[in-house]
Amino acid sequence: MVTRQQLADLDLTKVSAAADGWGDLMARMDAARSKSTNGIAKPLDMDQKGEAANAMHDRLSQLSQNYQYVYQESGYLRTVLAALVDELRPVQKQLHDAIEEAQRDGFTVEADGSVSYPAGPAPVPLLPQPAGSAKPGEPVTPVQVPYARGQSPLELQNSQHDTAEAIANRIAKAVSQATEIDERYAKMLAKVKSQQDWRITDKTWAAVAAEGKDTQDLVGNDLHLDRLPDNSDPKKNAAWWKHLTKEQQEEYLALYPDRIGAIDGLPATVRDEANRVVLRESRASLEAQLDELKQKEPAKYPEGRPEAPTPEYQDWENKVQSLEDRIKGTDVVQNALDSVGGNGLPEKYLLGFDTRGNGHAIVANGNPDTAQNTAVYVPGTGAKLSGLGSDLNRMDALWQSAHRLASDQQTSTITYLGYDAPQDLGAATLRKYADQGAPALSSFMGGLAAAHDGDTAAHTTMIGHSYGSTLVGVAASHGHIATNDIVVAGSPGVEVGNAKDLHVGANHVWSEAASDDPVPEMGKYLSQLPGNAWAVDRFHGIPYNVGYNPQVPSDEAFGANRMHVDTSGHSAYWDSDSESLLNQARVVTGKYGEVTLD
Amino acid sequence: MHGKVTDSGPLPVSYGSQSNKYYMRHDWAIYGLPNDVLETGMKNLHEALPQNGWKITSYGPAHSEARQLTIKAEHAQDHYTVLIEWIKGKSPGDAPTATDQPEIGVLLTSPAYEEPAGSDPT
Repeated sequence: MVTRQQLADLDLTKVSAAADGWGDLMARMDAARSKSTNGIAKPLDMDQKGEAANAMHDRLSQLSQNYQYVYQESGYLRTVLAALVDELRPVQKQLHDAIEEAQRDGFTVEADGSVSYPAGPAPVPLLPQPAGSAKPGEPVTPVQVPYARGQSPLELQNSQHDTAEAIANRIAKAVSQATEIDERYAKMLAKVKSQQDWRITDKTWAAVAAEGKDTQDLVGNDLHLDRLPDNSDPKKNAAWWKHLTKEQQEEYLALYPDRIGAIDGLPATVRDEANRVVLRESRASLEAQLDELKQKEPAKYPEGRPEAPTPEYQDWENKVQSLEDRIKGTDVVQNALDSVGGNGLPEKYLLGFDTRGNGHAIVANGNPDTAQNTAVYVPGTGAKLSGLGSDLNRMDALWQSAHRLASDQQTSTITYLGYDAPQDLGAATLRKYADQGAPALSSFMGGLAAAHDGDTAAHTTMIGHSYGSTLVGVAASHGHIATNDIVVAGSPGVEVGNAKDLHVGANHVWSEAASDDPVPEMGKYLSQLPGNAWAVDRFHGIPYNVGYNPQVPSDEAFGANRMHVDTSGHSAYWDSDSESLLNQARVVTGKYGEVTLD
Repeated sequence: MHGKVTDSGPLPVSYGSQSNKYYMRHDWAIYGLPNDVLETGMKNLHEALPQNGWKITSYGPAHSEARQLTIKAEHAQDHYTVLIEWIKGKSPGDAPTATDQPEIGVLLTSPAYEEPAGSDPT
């Protein structure tokens, strides 16, 4: 229960200052987390081995997580306190205005909130006007007297009474509103409990997510936050972010990490910050769903007939497997982020993350905004979050070779699993996955371009493996995708029949196909994926067909540079002794002259 | 030969998410030296490798526009393979943004190893 005196005397600037204090803490926690991950853990990792090192690494990882937790909670508190000030300020003003008016009119505000007025002057005729007091809500009895309107003693007394009552009403309303606000905010602040020990668990992160939803509901509009852009134009998104104040940026990060992490055009550091929170919160949410589901296991077999499981059980089992798979996926990504690179690997940036469908992630080695050379690798059939480890691994290897070729330049290699890849070969003959995924990929590439540091040259290469190449092809042929070079490995078709139709220049299209990789042939003859062109088909130089036929990038007629491949099979382009990978690195760093060709 | 060496370490690279196989890979370079020194370095390597158990499998210009001198070799005993190339700087076909830095690159690869199920070589 808030008293009138408390509300009147409340110094809102102090509350504002407290909010700002939490904002400062947020900034310091951000710096601390970054330092403990990159500044301390990484160099230690490189020198230390063994059990002690593992223990140290675990402690530092816990520390980093603690910093992140405090960062989020500080953001929450900051937002809540700022909103509290915003709600109380007009209410307090109402109270102050009412009290001032009372004083001007010569009224007195009593302790109980009633407003008393002094005896009025004696009007004509000479009847004394008694003093009185008005409580809010009191009825007023009108009286008929033969005086001019508004001039009778009773009417004058009544009008004073009315005014006093109105003032008393306003005071009471302000106090009651302030009480409601106080109670509401007290509940929200109470949610920030301090931990018994400093182990942040999934439950903790689930609570953080829930708080986030509370504050979204509460303050989304009250804080005069501009609406989030609709993410249709990366350049506009970039400009929108730049024009926000630092406080607004921090508030968006705290309130809408899942949205901020997905807006193309925002700086890599911002997306990374947001998506790391989403990663933690997602895992907690998936675990909670799994726990709940496990308690609802249906009967496996129908009564007395143990031949085949019931449909309910199969459905339940599918759901459980999907959750377990996605939880595994979040662990794969978390491990990649936490494995501070010995081996000279740079920091990783989580440019995208969600657990919809099979799960999606976009992980960068090195910051693409400041890199001179950027590679975006799109994996193919069967790619999903839980299996992303080997794809991330390939991009580590690509980074190392690109860095070796251009050690005086900065390089970023990005694994892009932002689309739903077909999961089996049958699905992989269909174009729909590429058609559905192309807009997001285009937008992502536009976002990289918009966020790139203007003072550094930028050379971008897309690398599509298998169905990933089809996705790249669809995106590139439909619009002018923001890339300088396109590399395809084991491509079953890229929707167009000639390299020039990818709009980067035919000499900027590079194909790798092992001689015994069956996918290009399968794609050419058995799928919807390639485009057609008038061409002479040759087999080792001998023409065997001419006409308007499907052409895949490994066909001579397609017109791409065909790079030398020394591996065999469909998935070995990054494998052992692989000049295939080295050739990709040569394209990525613009060392076209050193690419070995077939 | 005292030049600068790129700061990297060997990387385990997996054969794919369905496989327990992986290999070790290390791609590094020596730079900050003029081309005449690097040329001598290549000649020295060509002679020294066989003396250290390596079998040279090819030595000559690469099948590229720049024709960079390349040595490929395999170690007779432990079957590591190496690809050594001398890049003289920016070649005419390179992108305008490409680096002009001369270097000798060394790509060392191990044979495949098998990981016990569940462990993580990184």
